[in-house]
Amino acid sequence: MLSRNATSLTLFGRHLERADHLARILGVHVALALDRTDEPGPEFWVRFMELAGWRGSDTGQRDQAVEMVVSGSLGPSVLASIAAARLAAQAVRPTLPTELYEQINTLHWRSREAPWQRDLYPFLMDVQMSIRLSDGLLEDTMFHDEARDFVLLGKFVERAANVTTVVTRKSAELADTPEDALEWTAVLKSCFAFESYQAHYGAGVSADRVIECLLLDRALPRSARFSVSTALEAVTRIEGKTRNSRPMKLLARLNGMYLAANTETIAEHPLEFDAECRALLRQLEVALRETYFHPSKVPATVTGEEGRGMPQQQQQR
Amino acid sequence: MNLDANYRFNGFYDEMLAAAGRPRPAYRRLYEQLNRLGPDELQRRHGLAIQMFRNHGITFAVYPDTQGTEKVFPFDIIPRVIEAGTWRRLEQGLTQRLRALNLFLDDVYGRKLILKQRAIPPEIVLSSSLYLREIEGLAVPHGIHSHIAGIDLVRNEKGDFLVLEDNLRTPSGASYVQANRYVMKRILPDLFAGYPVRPVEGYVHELLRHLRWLAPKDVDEPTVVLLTPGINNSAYYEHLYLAKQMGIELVEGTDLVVDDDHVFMRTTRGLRPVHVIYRRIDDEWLDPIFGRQESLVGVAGLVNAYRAGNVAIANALGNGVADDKAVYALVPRIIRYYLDEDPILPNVETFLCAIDSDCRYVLEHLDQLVVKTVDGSGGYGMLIGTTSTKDEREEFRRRIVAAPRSFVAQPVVSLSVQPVLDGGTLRPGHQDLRPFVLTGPDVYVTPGGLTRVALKPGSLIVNSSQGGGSRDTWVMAQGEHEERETGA
Repeated sequence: MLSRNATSLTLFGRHLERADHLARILGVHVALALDRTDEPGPEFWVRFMELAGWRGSDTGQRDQAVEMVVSGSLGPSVLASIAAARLAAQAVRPTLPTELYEQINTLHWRSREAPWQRDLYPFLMDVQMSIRLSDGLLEDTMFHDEARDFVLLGKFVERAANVTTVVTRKSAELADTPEDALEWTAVLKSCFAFESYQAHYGAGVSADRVIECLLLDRALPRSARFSVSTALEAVTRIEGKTRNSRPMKLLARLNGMYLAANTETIAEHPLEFDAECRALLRQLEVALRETYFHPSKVPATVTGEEGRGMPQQQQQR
Repeated sequence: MNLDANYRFNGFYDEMLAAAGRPRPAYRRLYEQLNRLGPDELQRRHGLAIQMFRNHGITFAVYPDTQGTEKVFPFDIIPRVIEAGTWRRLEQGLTQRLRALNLFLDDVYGRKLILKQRAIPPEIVLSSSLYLREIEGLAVPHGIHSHIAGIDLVRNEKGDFLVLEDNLRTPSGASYVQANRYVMKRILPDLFAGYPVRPVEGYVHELLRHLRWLAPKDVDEPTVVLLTPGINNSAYYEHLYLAKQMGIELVEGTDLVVDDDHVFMRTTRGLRPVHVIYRRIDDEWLDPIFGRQESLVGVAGLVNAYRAGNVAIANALGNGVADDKAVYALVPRIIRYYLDEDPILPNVETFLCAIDSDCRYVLEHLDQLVVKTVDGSGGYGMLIGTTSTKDEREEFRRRIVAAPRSFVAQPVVSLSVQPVLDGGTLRPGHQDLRPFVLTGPDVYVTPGGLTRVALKPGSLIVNSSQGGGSRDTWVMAQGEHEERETGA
């Protein structure tokens, strides 16, 4: 596979997952604000913005927060993530099933034109369900080969990072008390795992069980451990049996980290766990670039990149 | 009330309607079907078609346009019908033209017999800015230079087909032929009833077969790629469509690398050899060593690999000389010289400003002629004398006097019209036809090609970059239908 295609497929998986994640946590937090008996103060929305990846944002108002996370262009937003996924899909359109590309393309246009200011919930649901449909098309219509594995790699690495951040940040903020049960429920819903949790764990929502479920469960597709192990399997297939690359080693280390972790340690030092996870993910980014995305040492061009033109070729129209 | 009740005939040859309420034989059944559907339903289905184009991502970019890459190619839902007998003659004419143009290209970059024998003025050919001296003597696979050509045809006031332009470098539009048919079959399937329409899907298979045929002799399973300038190019949809349909990699310049005169693509498993490149990048940007040094879209060393015979490039370099609009005027003589045959398809009368007597005539009749730059395309850089202002004519006069070789002029061709649907009513729209011709182990002509329509009222320019759109083109299969329709 072309290295450029591998890059785009990974980005495609990553950005779709990010759009899904942002839509989900936004919907959950808007609902959570309504569920509270007291009007949530600015702190609530500042913390939400942190969770959505807008680091250092001092946005303390609901409407501003919603606008930035839906349509902002200077930080992670639903529309920007969909647009980025579509752009990545455009670059690898010959590799993707037509229906899958059309699904992303129509989602892009629909979401740009959607009256989300008025109908936020239907908009967020449409985004999430369209992404589910894309997942299905990917699984059901595409060869389960290298191309799909790069999409899975992008998607599950993104998911592992997002879930770990949500759970560890909330662990640092919340106590394991009945008063905070509502917030812990919101955490589960943010990760599309509430119903699975109830079915599997039952007996009410508690901090340790949420950590267990979302970070360490090996069978729940929304958990960080499941995500890391799926990403590792994808890289293993990409590599074949003979190779033992740096991305593979790093994902194996990350996988080992989740395997060895326990709820008590994470509950005691959640932010340290998140930091350790993020450090490995940063190394993984570099390793992926060096191994798959720009693997050739042969220079692409003879002269330097400075001042080089990108002409609009005159196609004979 | 019929759809054409308020149709205003404008004196041009109308391909569909002989008079109000009187469709030509080939269109009779179509006319009835359209009237049965009525204006509102047709308008609704037109809206569905445009939605399909957008959802499918069938968009194009017009560079000066602020909408950037996101413009849906305008589409008219009334198909154009070409009868089998008419098409047979066009096919023969196009095949003849491409045979001659390929012989011409092989000759002018080789022995130059046509120039030495002065069958055409050598100075016109050798002064072309599109003539590449650097590739003189370079043997191309099988002696074929133009593998993919798009020939622009128009119909005059009598309904006769003429050749308006040859496009032998990177002709665009084949994907829209497929897209138009795809959409028509889904939006207006009823219209096909009673029409033995020839399918257009075979083009991509033929294209792949022709490209594989170009591979170096010692390669059994060649790797063919399509080289695109990238996602921001106006024809990117076409590039990805063709690559996807052929099942070949769509590569950009940075995906390729040349080592020891062999071309490779960068993959996740290292470098993989490439044997045939269908390039959609102009000659000058193809290789920064050979052409423009600032090219970001090209591949350094590609031309040397080509010269060494390790990779085939389609179309070959230097084809521009044969679609130079001044050389176009010489094509009838080129056909007679190489094939000893009269041209089946005539040219539009063309005045070469490089010839003094022609130039004088052009300068005296600027208000009656269409003036074109010899290397232009896309409808840019033209003067349409009949609708021009005095200032525009003066500007062109200055430019022609300064560089006469750069201009040709033609009488305004009374481009044929066909009704276009405009807000539920019909009005005449000028149109041309671009069939695609593949030359390789044999010559293949797409049944139909791309019909481009001037959608701005009164406009003669059909180019997509200038407000033109397209419509599906139906070539009838041979058989009883032809006799039945024409005899009806």
